[in-house]
Amino acid sequence: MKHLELILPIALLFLSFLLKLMIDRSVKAPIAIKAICELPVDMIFLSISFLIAFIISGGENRNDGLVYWTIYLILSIGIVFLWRRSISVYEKGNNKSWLVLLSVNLFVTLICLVVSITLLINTGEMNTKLNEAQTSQSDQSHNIESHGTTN
Amino acid sequence: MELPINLYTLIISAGLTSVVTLSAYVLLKNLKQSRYNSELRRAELDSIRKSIEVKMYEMNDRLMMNENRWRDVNHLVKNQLTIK
Repeated sequence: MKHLELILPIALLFLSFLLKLMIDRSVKAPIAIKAICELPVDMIFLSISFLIAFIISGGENRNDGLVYWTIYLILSIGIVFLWRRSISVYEKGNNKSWLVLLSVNLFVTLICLVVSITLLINTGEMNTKLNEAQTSQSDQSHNIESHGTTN
Repeated sequence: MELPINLYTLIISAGLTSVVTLSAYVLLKNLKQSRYNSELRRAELDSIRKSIEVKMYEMNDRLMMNENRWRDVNHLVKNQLTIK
């Protein structure tokens, strides 16, 4: 299946959003709007966990992963702040600037998420290439050895 | 270390952002305003006020959930009654 790397995280986020919203309470529009404002926080922590997976998987670029991890943690503080601020602006009810805050927050977190997914995909591809190279090398050496014994 | 951001990333992010923001905007537009429902012959509260009132009732219930909390809330009345 194509684009599985995008579909699965989005499905996970959507599921957690719906479960948190729907189970054991009645959904009203104000509650749904607050839940949408909270969505970027879930997304930044999902991308941080992808980064942790990237660091744990032990590619060559582990130091890059640690740098990204630090940057994302600092970013997450700002994103939580923007989430709180957008909810307080929404509850005041005077203007619609919370929509701008929400979209800025969403855009930043989506880019973070896509960046962490691309990092993870690149290491996966590198690991498969390395494995293929190693197996072909071992096959060659095995062939040479077997030829040597027959001769 | 180079940032793996390309046009594709930006387009996906912008698209998803606009979808979610639009859905929030649609929800905002669908918020019920307070009005008098002539068919049912009663006033309908607007939804923000309704949700806040529901929250107030829940808070009140939580304040008086067990005996100790009920005593804390009603200590003035209770003391007055015991003095008499």
